[in-house]
Amino acid sequence: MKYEILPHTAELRFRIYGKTTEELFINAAEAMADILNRDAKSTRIHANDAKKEIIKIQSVDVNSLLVDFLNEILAKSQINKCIYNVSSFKLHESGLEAEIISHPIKRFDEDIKAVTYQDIDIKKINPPAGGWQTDLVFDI
Amino acid sequence: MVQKQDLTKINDYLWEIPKSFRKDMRVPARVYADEKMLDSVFKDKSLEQLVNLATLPGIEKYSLVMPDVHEGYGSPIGGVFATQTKEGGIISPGAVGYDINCGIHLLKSDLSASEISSKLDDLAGEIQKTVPSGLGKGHLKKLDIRDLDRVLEDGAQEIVRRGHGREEDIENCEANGRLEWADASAVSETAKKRGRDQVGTLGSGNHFLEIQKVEEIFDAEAAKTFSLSKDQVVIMIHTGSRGLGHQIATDYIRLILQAMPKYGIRLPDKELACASFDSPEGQKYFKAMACGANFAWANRQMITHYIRQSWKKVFNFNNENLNTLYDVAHNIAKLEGDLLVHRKGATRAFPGQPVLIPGSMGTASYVLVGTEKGEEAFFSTCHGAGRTMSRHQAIKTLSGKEIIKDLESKGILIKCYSLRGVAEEAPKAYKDVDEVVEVVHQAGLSKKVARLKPLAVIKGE
Repeated sequence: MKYEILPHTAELRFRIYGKTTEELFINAAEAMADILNRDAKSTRIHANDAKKEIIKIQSVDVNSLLVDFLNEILAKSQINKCIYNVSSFKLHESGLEAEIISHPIKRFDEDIKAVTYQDIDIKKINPPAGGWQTDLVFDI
Repeated sequence: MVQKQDLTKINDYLWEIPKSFRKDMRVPARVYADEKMLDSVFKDKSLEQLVNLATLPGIEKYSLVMPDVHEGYGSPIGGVFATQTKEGGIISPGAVGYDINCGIHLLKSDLSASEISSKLDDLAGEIQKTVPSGLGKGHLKKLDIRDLDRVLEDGAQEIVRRGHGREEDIENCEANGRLEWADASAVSETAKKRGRDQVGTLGSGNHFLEIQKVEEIFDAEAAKTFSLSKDQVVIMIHTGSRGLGHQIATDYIRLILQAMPKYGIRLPDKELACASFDSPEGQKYFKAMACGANFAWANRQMITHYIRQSWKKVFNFNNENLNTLYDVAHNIAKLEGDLLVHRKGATRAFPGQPVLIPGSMGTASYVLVGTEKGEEAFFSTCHGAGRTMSRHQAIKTLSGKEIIKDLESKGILIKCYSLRGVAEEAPKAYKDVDEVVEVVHQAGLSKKVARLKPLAVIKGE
């Protein structure tokens, strides 16, 4: 499972999973894209309009890095009226570098204001499940 | 975990968690609620978040929460506190929220509900067509950056100057629609890009437009002062600073989190990221927040203009008589006397000031008036009904179609794009606004003037 929805009174809370921290970051970006546009295939404008770009981010710790990464993609989504998939991703000591692909869409299904720091805590899951998880709250 | 036995009853509508509850509390924490409402407050993390507010440097007297309280991030929604601006008192972008100056604008007409009933559907349809949500391509106008900077610094006044409003809109707006310390250079390019095509857009979620009628008058004298009368048609606008404000909050929460270690500030929750009001970071945020607030007032002013255009078109009038009663924020930090008052999901209620309280979709809204007694709550009151059910739960258990049918059976028209959005915003997902308003009325924070019944609810296209 890449992510699941958890209760929150007013906002959207997800639990994100990944076999590695890199995969957790990619799955978090996918969860956000799925909120922004639930049925991307039917509302994409032109598949040929997909564009690639590289983003590089540095943050004080890995939890803040995840929030900053998602907020960067969110801002680009709203400015460019598209959703993004992550095509390549690398974590290094002070930050990350990712290649993201934009897909123009006709409209957003949800207006995410921001990705918040609430309850974020990327941690290892003990065996037998293994892997990594964190909760993530989106301000809707 | 706060439990009922940790609270002391001050009176039937006010409870207190003492400072001794947790060793990092600098002041007590107070809850405005009746006994029945109090029981439901323990269901989420609201009170833990309220206790966290009480740990903030420079906080005065107590942290407070209003009866429409529910869990937020950092501050609970309905949270209010004040800090000294000198001696290390802080400013916190998280305690203002991402939707800077989300608020309400209320327009009064000179027509009654029966006079518009035959054209209600046309009017609601025209308004929905004219006011974009901002989520689709729509007919959004993109401002150039110089024009946007003027909007950020001059707020609603810039929109009126461009011919999209009247002087009385400005006179009847909190802060005359402009916080004068706003500085557009404090706002990032990313925030400006997010906001350039959003002036005059509604957003989604719990943002809405409503055509309402005055159903009941509680205070005849105040109603006369506000020019409200029974059966009068009014129009309510609920929206905020859109992507621009959201990005300002995102930028400054990040900046201030990074700055906090150098000031030795430690907090129980990252979302309460704060800096001394006097620090460079604190001052820069204050100027940027003012830009966000101005943008929201400009936004609501532009929507006012679109509504007036729709009204004229549908009724074929030469002039429309839709006048502003008031416009007031419920997510903002304001300098009031020597204190910086943070309100997140709470409305300023100065004595004699109109207070505008939206209900949940299809339920009543209220006009209240601020009181002298409100000083005990830094002249603050509730902001709405307050959620009780998660959006996810609402979509799983409630049907958008059934809700629309139910509201239509009560004579309430709904114009919406998304049935999912209707389910998320169903009345069952919220507290009873009548009960919330009754608490602030009985507590003396603000007094009931009029109850407004929805005739048509309009969500963005």
